[in-house]
Amino acid sequence: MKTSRMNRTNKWPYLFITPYFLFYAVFSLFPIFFTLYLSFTDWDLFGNKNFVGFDNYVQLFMHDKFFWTSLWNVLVFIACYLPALVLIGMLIASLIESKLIRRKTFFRLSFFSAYMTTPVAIGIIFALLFDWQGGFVNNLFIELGWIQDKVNWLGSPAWARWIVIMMIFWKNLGYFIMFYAAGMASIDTSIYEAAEIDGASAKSVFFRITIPLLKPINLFLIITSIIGGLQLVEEPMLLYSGWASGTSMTGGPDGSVFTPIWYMFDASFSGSSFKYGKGAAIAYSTFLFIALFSLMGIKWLNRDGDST
Amino acid sequence: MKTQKWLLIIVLTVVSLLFLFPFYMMFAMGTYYSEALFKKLPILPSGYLLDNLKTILSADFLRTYWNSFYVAVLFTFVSVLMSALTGFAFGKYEFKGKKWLYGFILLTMMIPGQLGLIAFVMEMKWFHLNNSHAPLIIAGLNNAFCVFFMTQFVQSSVPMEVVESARIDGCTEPGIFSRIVIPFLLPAISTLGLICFLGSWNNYLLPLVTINKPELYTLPLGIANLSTRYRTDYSASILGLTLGTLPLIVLFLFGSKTLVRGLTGGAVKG
Repeated sequence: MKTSRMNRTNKWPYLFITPYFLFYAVFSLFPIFFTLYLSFTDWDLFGNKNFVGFDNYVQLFMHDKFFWTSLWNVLVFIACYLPALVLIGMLIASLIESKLIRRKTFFRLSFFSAYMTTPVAIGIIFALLFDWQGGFVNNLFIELGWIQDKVNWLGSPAWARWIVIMMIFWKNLGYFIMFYAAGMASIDTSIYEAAEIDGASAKSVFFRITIPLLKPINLFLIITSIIGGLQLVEEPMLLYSGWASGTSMTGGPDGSVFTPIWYMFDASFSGSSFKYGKGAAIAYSTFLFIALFSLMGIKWLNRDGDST
Repeated sequence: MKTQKWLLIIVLTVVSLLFLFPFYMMFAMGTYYSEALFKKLPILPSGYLLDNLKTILSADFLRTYWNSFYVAVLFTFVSVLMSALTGFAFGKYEFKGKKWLYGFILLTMMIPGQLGLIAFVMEMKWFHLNNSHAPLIIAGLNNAFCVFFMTQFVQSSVPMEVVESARIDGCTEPGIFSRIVIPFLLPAISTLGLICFLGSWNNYLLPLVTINKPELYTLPLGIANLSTRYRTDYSASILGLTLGTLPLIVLFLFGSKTLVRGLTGGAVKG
């Protein structure tokens, strides 16, 4: 009985998964391997297809200031916004989830709305808010008397970085809050009641109970943020796409907000170069660093188990 | 306790309003006359909404809207169908090589999406699919995350007895999938559908490198190019931004619970 049923059904699972694997092979696996091959060639739009070995990588790692700048930039961004997202995210989530707040949905929604917004729109809104001549921020600060002359926010490398960090923070805080709120809701309330009976202060409950119990969520959020953060591209790209006055430049002032994936796009698809080989090498090098930093992150978060 | 509560509410309200502010600015700025936009602080909405709307509508914006909409619908449809089918096979059958194949899917989930992009774009050119919407929809055919999500859901929510009894009643395997399993999957389908729709609607990079005909532009691309096409009319362009974000907000208001459950479901488990 059992074998006959197996015989009748055993071709079906294969038939059901075949389309997916077929499409995956053609539209994902092949491009991934072909990009690897491209990275060892000088392939471009103009007909070069020579195998050049590790030339692209040597060029990138030894002689390319832009690559290291772009990598450094995204690491600086992550180092600034990630701790802030984790701490402030947990704090606000615990405020929203506390027994005193009834209308939780409104707060959750207002923070989360930024996460839904098209990254393109976020880049453009911030470009307009920080516009040199007519931007809202300059006008407001002058009105309030905080500054005398208009500040060229987007023209200064240091401010440009802070603006990008702020954008990412603004965009992702709601996402973090969502996760923390979901995690806090799933913590057994009897643990809190026991702590209350034992006379634990709100502070020590937060640090000794809430944070340790949120560890799996933190692991997930931090690792995915590192992976996503190294691939940052749309927000800074749109910030400097020419919406605000004089901001049409690749990488921002002095390349201060240049990112690896932006570099990849610039090398392979921008008007003048179309160097697929170089772009492919950038893609693979970035991937290497993504793997490296996420492994480091996992190691660090799992170091002994009682903190974070 | 009472003062503490009100303090908390006030703090949270102030912070969340601060977070909504850039949004609000976007809405407000879209209602201004372009010349007035940069002269004073555009805090309160002005009366130019309809004029700006006219400018936008005359600028082929509706076509861009439609492009984005139908691409997102098709993308969502193929992603959900493909992942439901694959997830059903992984969740409810035993077959040789299943462990390896599923492990392979989990492994590919870790690969960043940008890695194969350059070759994907070249491939699309070889197939003469560049400058069409096909690449944007094809991208939905092989989403490892969706398959993972569906497999989890199939395992936990489709009772094996139901599948078995349908089989005994003589239902064919495809019939079991379409008539028995799909109804069980509806919650997962709506969650995944929302996530996929959001992803496609917001996608900027792929259309940027595969499409260069303005009549094929999707919203993010159209919005990014509004400034170069209608340089003089800032507020109309900003209204374009607002209109591009609006459907997401509506979608979110109706589906926030589902969406949040879907996004957090993988990481938060009891």
